[in-house]
Amino acid sequence: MLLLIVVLEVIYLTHNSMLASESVRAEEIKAEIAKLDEQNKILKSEVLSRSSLGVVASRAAEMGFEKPKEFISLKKNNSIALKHE
Amino acid sequence: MRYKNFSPRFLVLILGLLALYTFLLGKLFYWQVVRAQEIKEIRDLQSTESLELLPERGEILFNDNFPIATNNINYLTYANPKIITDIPKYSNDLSGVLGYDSASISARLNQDLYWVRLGVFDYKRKEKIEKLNLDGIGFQIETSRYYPEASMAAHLIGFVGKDDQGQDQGYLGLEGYYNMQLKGKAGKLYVVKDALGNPIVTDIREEKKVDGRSLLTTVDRTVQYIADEALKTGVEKYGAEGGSIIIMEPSTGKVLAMSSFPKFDPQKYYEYDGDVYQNPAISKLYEPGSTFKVLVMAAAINEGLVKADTRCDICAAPVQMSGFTIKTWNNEYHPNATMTEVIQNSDNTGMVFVGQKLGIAKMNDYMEQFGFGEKTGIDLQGEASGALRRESEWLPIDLATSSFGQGISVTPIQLLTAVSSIANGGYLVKPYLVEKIFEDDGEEIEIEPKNKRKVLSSAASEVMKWIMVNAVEAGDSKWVTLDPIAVAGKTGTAQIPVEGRYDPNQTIASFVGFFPAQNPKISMLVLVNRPKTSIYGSETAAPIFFSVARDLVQYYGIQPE
Repeated sequence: MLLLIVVLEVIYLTHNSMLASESVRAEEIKAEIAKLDEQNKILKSEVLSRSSLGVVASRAAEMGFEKPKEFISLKKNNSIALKHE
Repeated sequence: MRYKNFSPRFLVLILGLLALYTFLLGKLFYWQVVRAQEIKEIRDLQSTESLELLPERGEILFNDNFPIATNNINYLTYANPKIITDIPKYSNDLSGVLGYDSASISARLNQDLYWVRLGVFDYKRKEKIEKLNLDGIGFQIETSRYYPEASMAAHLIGFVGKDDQGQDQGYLGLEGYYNMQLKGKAGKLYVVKDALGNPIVTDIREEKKVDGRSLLTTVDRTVQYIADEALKTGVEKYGAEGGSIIIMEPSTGKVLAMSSFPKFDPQKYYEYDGDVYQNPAISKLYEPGSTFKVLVMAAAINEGLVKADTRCDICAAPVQMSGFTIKTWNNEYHPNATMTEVIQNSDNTGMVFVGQKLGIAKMNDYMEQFGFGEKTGIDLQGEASGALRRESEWLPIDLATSSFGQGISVTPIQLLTAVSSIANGGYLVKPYLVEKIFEDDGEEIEIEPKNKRKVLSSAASEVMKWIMVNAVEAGDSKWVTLDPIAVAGKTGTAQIPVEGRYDPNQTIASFVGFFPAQNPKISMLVLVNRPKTSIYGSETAAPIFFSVARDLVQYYGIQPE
C-alpha cells in the first residue's frame, strides 16, 4: 500500500514537472514567434518604403532617367528593309 | 415486519444519516446548480486571466498587390522616474535621440510618477534609445496604419481615426466604405492559473480573433502616380484652386485612378482642415457646362431626332427665349451648322435646337437614364447624388440651358460614367474599386463588373463617338492631340454660380473623353477648379488630359488602329 502511494506520488510529481517545463517552453516559443513577427513587420515596412513609386521616381531622376518626350507609332505595315535582287 | 428487530437507537442513527445525506445533496444542488454560474465567475476571477486579442486591420492593395494601406509597428516609449538617479544627464542623453529639448524631458521625469510617456517612435529610433543603456526605459508595441505611397490617392483611401470608444474606425474613401470588412473581430485568451499563479498550459481557452479582410482594388499604381503628378503640375501651372482626374475602363467601370488636389496625408490627417478630406471627384456637385452637350446630343441621336449631318436652323444668331438671350461662348455664329459642327464649335444655340427637338419629357428621362440624380454606387464613402428637378418643374428656359450644361448639377464620377456609355456601346456601368476581397481563412470573394442598364443603342453611341473624335481634331482643343491615336472628347468651361448669378471669371474647366476611339480602353475626366491663367477647358484641362493620355498610351502600349 505504502509502495503504491509512493509510486503514485512520483508519477504525480513527474507529470507536474513536465507540465511546468512545457509551460516555460511554450512561453519561450510564443516570445520567439512574437519577436519574429515584429521583425517581419519592420522588414516589410522597410521594403515598402524603399519601393514606393515616389522613392523610385526620385532615385531614377537622380540617376539621370527621363520621361520619354514623344512616341512614334507606325501607321501602316511598311517594310523596314527591302532586299535588292 | 423485518424492521421490528432494529433497535430505536439504530433507527435514529439511520434517519439521522439520511437527513444529513439529504442536507448534503441539497447543499450540493444549491452550490452546483442554483449558484453554479456565480461560483464559476468567482473561480474565473481568481484563477483565470483573460487577454483581449486585437485583430489586425486588413490591407488595401493596388492591382499589382502593392499595399496602398497596411499596418506598421511603432513603440510607445515610457520611463519610470522613480528609479532614475541623475535626471539632468538622463534627459540630456535622451534629448539627442528623441529630438526634444532636454528641459522638457527633464520636466516630465521630475514628476512624482512611476510611469511617464516619452512618445511613440519607429524601430530605428527605438534601437538608438536602447543603445543608450538607460535604466527605467520601457517599450510597448503599437500597431498603426501605414500608407507606403504617402498621400498618393489620399481621397480614394480615406483614413483611419478613432471612434467614440477609442477603437480604430475608417473614415471616408475605401477605409470608410469597407470599415466593417477591414476591421475584423477581436478575440479573447483565457489562461487558467494554478495556486501559485503559473499558467496551466493544458487549460488555455481561446476565442479566436478574426483579422480584417484585405481588399484588392482595381487601382493601377502607375496610372495613379501619373494622374497625381499631372494634376499637381497642372493645378500649379494654371494657378487653379484644385482639380480632379478620374480614369476608368469604360467597358467595365473599373476605376484605374482617382486623384484630387489639394490632397492630404492620410497618416497625419489630423494636421489638415476637415474640408480637404472630402473627395471632390465623388462628392462635389458642379455644373458640367459644355461636356454635358455630348450626352444631350447622344440622347437626340438615340431617339432618331437628329443625325450627324442634320442642320441647325436657329444657329445664325443669338436665341431669344423667355426674356433671355442665349449666345455662343465666343459670340460667333454658324448658320446651318451640322450636329457634328455644333459639338465641334461647342455651339450653345445649336444645343438649344437639339434640346427643343428632344423636349422636356425625354430630356428628363435621359438625365435619369444616364444616372444623374442618383448615386453611381461606387464603393467609396461620401458619394453625393445631386437632385434632378421633377418633370413638372421644368420651364422652357431650363430645357435650353440644360442642353448646354447649365442649371444642372452633377458629380464628376456621374459625368464620367455617363460619357463612358458612349464609349462602350451604350451601357451605363457601375463604377467600382474593389475587385477581390480576401478573407482571413484564405477564401476569396470576387466582385464582377455590373451594367446598370442600356441607355443608348450601339449605332447611336457609334455616331456620337465619331462626332466627339471630330470635336477633338477640329474643335477648340485641336492644338493638343494624341496623333495617331484617335481620341473622342469634349471640353467644358462651366461658370460658377455665385449669389444667384454666374461669375464670368470663375470657372470649372474640364475635359472628358476616351481613347482609342475605335476600341476605347480608357475614359477620363479632368477638372480644373478656378484656373487663373485661362478660364477655358481647352487651355487648361485639355493639356492635362492629353499629357496623362500620352503617358497611358506608352504605359499600356496602346497601338493606333
